[in-house]
Amino acid sequence: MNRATFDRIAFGAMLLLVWQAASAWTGPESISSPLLVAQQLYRWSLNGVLGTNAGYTLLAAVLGFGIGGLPGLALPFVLRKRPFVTAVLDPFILIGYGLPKVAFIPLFIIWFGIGIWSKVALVASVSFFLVFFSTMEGVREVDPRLLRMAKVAGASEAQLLRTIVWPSALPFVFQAVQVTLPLSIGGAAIAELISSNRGLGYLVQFSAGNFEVTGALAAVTALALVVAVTNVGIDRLHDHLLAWKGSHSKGITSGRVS
Amino acid sequence: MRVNGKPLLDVCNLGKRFQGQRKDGIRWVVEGMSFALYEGEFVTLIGPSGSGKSTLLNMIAQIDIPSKGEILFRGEVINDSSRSKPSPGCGGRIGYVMQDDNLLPWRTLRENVEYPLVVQGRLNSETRTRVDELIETVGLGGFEGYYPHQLSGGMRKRASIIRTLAYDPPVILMDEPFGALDAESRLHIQSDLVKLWQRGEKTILFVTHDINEAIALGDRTITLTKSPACVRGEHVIDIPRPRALDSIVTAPQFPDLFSRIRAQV
Repeated sequence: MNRATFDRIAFGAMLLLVWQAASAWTGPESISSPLLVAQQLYRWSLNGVLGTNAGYTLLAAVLGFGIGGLPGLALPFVLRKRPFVTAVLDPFILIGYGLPKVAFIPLFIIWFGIGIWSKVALVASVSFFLVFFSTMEGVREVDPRLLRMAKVAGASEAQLLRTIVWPSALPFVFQAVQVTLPLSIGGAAIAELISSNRGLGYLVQFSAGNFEVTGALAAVTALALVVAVTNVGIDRLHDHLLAWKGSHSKGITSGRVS
Repeated sequence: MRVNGKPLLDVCNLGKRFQGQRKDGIRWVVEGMSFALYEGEFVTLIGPSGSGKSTLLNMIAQIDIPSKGEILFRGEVINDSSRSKPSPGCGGRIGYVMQDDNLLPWRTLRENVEYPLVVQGRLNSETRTRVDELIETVGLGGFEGYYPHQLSGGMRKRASIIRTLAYDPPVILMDEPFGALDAESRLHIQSDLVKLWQRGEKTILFVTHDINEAIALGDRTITLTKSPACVRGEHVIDIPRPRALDSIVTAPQFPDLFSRIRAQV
């Protein structure tokens, strides 16, 4: 076990201790203890409540991320050679980015019902802008010297996109995925808080509504676990796709720890 | 010298102007430039910095369109002011080794060298063998699978040169390619370059600001005037090949050539 892993475990244990202490101070009816939450999660995982609801939230997040993220990914490549269109669209995209998407939840419910599609719509509206801005930056940052080299070597416009622009932008695309996918899960859960009959957000809302603090905290913990597992998956993919970079930044640190 | 008959590349009365800061401030960077390159020649071009050497090469490589004059390749006009859109590289006929190695960081050394062949759709067993040979010739054997960030500056530079040689353009332009290298690897690559040039029938136009390098490598050295650039003088380098690049200064012809060129830059 290396130093960072050891310290992470130690830090995690310390957080649990603080949580336990807080629980003992207030009593489990306002802050439930880690042990009670673990028991609740264990029960939910046995009776299928955890799997169903986590799966529902994750599905809404992934669908929304795909539906919003893919156009956000494609648009910068389309705009690359169209500075005029970019200039026209610019203020609209900035306003769209600035709008609080949560304010649209009631509208999304009117348009798409209280089922999964209103959650997907919220996640998509958040994902689009985040992926768009990050990818746009990547497309802008392409080294013009590499483009010139490739042109002289005989590359067509389509080949430039595929062999130069796309690989240059890939680290930025990845950054977008790193930021947006966890936010998508959170976004889906927020939409579920407002109106739903399934999902981890619904579990939080439902449990809290019944003053079941343990249940609400267990659902939040489950959300944290889903996000953590997603992050590990993204990291794996990152190492695989961007092996040429040698070293890279992970999570919120700028250098590689471990 | 291997000069024969008609020129391979002909630069005729070439001019390039840029719009200056003020509305009336049109500045000619290159004006009235004329010279010719013959098949198989190694010509070095030397001029003060900021004298529009890169602009000149960009026009020959068809990255830039001239404001005046024309460039002919085997008697055919390939670039003049009437073009609306340049066609960089002139359909693979003009190679261009720039100051930076411009290797693609996400491709291994071998994939970088093969890049032009891939985009031209010419990667086959024959060209692969050629790539193998080139990699061996410049001593990069064993590093094919390395990414650029794992290679030294000299190795990257070699890779960028053989990337251009791999697709076999008849004319190769080089823009101060060895500027950033230390003396030792510079000498090494210079002799690699001469070796590669002598193997194939290549015509090379090599821009440098180093008089020693211009004399050591060239069959002919063209000197340029300061802005706007045009041809100031031409010097035939009559030092027989093979030349000892590391002791070029001891050649009996050297002092005279050096002082003649020195007087013009």
